[in-house]
Amino acid sequence: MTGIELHGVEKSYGKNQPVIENLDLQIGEGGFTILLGPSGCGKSTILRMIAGLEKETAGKIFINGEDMEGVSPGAREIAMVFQNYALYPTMTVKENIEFGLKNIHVPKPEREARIGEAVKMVGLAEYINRKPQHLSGGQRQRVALARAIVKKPRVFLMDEPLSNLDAKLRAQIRTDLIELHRNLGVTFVYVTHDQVEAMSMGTDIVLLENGKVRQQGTPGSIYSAPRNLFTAQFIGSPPMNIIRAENLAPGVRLPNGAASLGFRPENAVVSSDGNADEGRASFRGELVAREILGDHAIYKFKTAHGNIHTKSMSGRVVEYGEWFVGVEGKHLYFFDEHGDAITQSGGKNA
Amino acid sequence: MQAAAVFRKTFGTACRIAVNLLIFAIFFIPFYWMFLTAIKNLGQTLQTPPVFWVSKPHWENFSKVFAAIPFFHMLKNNLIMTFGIMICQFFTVIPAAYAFARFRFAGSGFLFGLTLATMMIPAQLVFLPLFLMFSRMGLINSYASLILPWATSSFAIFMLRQTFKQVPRELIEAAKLDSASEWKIIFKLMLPIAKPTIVTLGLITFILNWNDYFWPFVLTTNNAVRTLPVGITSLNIVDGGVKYHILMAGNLLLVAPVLVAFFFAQKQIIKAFTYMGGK
Amino acid sequence: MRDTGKTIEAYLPLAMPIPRMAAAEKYLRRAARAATPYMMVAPAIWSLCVFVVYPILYMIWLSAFRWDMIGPKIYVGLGNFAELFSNPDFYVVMGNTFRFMFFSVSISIVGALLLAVYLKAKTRTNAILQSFIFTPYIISMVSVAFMWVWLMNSEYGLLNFILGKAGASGVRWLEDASVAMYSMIIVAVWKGLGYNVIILISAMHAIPNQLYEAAALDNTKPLKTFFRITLPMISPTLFFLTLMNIIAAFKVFEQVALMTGGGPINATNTLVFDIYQFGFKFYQLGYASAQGVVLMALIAVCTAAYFGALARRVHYGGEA
Repeated sequence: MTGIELHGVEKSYGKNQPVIENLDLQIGEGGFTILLGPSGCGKSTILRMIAGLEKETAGKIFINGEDMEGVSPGAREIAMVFQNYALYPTMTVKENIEFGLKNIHVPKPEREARIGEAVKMVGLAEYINRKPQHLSGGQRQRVALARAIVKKPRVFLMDEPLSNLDAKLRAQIRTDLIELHRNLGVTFVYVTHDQVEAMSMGTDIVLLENGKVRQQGTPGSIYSAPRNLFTAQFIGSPPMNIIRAENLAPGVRLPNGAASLGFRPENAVVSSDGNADEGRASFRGELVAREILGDHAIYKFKTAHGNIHTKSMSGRVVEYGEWFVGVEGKHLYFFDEHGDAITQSGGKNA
Repeated sequence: MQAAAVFRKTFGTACRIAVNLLIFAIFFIPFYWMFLTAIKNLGQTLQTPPVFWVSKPHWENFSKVFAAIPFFHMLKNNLIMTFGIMICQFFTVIPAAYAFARFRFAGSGFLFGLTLATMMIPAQLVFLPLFLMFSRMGLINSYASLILPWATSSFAIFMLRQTFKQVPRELIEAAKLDSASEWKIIFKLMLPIAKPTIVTLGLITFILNWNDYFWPFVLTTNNAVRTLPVGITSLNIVDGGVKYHILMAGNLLLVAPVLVAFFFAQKQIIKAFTYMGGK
Repeated sequence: MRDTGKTIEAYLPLAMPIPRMAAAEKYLRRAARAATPYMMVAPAIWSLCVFVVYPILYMIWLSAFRWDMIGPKIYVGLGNFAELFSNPDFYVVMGNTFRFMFFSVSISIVGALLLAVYLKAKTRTNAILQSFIFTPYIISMVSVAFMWVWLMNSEYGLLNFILGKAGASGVRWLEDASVAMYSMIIVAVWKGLGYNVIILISAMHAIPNQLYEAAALDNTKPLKTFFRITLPMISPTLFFLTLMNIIAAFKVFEQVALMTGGGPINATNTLVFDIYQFGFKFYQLGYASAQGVVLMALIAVCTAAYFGALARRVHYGGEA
């Protein structure tokens, strides 16, 4: 068995309530897996347990089929990139990259070759003799990457590596990371709370809440087929509009057991007439705020059923006032009272 | 109106200059007077009114100092005591500070509390029992009695522990992922990061022990291991009377190295002491 | 989902053997790891126990005996303390110690505050003056004492010469029993002032400038700015500094030994000097130890206040 497997893993600190309970997780080899979730969901803890920096309270962790019990972090053939980069401040870029290789006694010629290759990959060749404090945030990030690359690990672990960078640099390094992953072909496990990073880079997303996996799948499936309210609302920006059944106009028919209805802002259409065809939903509301963002616009409507956001990619600007928000039947999602998605088999009339 | 403003400004500047000069005088003249007396002869020393400049310095005062006390022997003792203490502290303080910063072990709270509790206990409180202890062991007039009681410093442990604690956890974790052993983490990572603190503590330890009079005075009964500050005091009475020019010459020899060091490294020294008081 | 399209041969995982340990080796390793912190603190803790904790316990024990260092120890219980507290000389010594403490600390702290305000602007002149004020702090008390013994010489000293020029009569600085203690205080302040000044200046520099800018916008008078902003903001530092000064004053010895020898007629005899006299000159070790216990109590009170404040982290409010 290859990749990373967690079997019944539990983690608790002291006598407190465990932060992770009976977690089963499989991370495929060679994939770019994203552990995604709000802060405090346990995603970093999972990563740190894989790295061996924290010991699981119970359960087993396997990397490429080998039990990691008692294996020190340095012997796990992994590399990790930290949020604050964790560069050794008293060492130069080269010494930072070389440190791990020296510790496992890689001979000097090979060290030099690997360092040369790694710094070229991240584009740092001319900064090799600088100290980290003389580098910009983006450059430090690259040193951290190079330090991971030279070790030729079987797994790359990254703990929110982009969150200390500004937005522009983040977008750039995102594409660099995708390229790096394709070049190296090894397993990447990447922790983030940012769905944009998750959707753009991941080949596999593990969405976590309170130490539990809420959904695992490709970015496409997580976006288009959310299995529960949490997933539906976590992925997508602005999040999916959710309207509770009791707030709908009386007489509206929902599938059996549905407690709420949802639709994505980008699937809503704003129009001046509210004629609802069969299977289509329509809400009357007042436009109270709009954000014109160039390529798209986001609108906020106040309706009798609650606030509704819509997102429009057309260049047309909607004026403030009364409007109807309509959604095609195929774009509607239904959830039962536990928040689980109801499969499309039931009728769906709004 | 204009004139009043100009007057107020000029008056203010004049006041400032006057106060500056007063401060300068209070803190400079004693040093100047020491230096001047050190190069006077006995007649000039006791002359009234005093002379404020001597055209022909009497350097022979210094050879009289060397004749009156075993100066170089005491200088050697001073160096042995000061560096002995510094070396001992290097080996006791760093591991202890590291352990208190990084590990939680059974009794660590108690042991650290003990360290803190001893921080305020001065030499003046323990000299009597320690003298008795060393004399029972026959160690009076030995380097051991001068060095061993100061082989560690709770203050230095505390300060260095604070520095170690400020090192981000991720740095140590990165080193662990880089297969570094605990010793490598200490020597290749933590110590270089803590170097400014260690240098600062070393500087303070040096100055305090170089200058110390109390300990070598109460723990010695002859010149075998006596240090310079103790030696200079025996210049107080040379040939039956106080010869202030000889005393000041000896005094000058004692303070000169510190003053020269201070002149060249005043920024670092002041920063070191500020750091010590500013925790 | 695996994309190995561009896998470079060199980046295939390293074949690195994962160490497998026998149970016994694992156990030994764990034991070694558990022992590491104890081994690291052992030298320091041993040293503190032998050279600080044990001597103090020994001193407390000794205070219950009458002993001249040669003969047998005679148990007297609290007898030494009874003798101590009925000895009028002890009250003189304690009075001297507290007088020295009170005047040297208050003058030094108030003086340092004034100088810190005066010198806190970052100019070249101020930096030079700070260095001059600080210099006495880093040189030996021996040198300072002798410098001032010479300056204060009643016949040939520079101080009396200056006083004479100013039309005043000379002062017998160290020989007049009513003056000698104040001479000691002058020297103590001269030596210690610089340290207080630089600490207070650095505390003042740590005050956020916005506070002063806000005060300037409100047209606050300089004096009010000092009492409403500067003083409250540096008060934790001031508190700790004062306590450190008090402890330092309680252990005054070198000055007394070198400048007056406790005289004239006990006017400058302080606690530590008295302990030294009774221990090393009169060989009354039990009595000296009892005095040591008194000194310990004084320092313990100050230390307790220090740590009490440290634990509560008293910040006396930014805006009063």
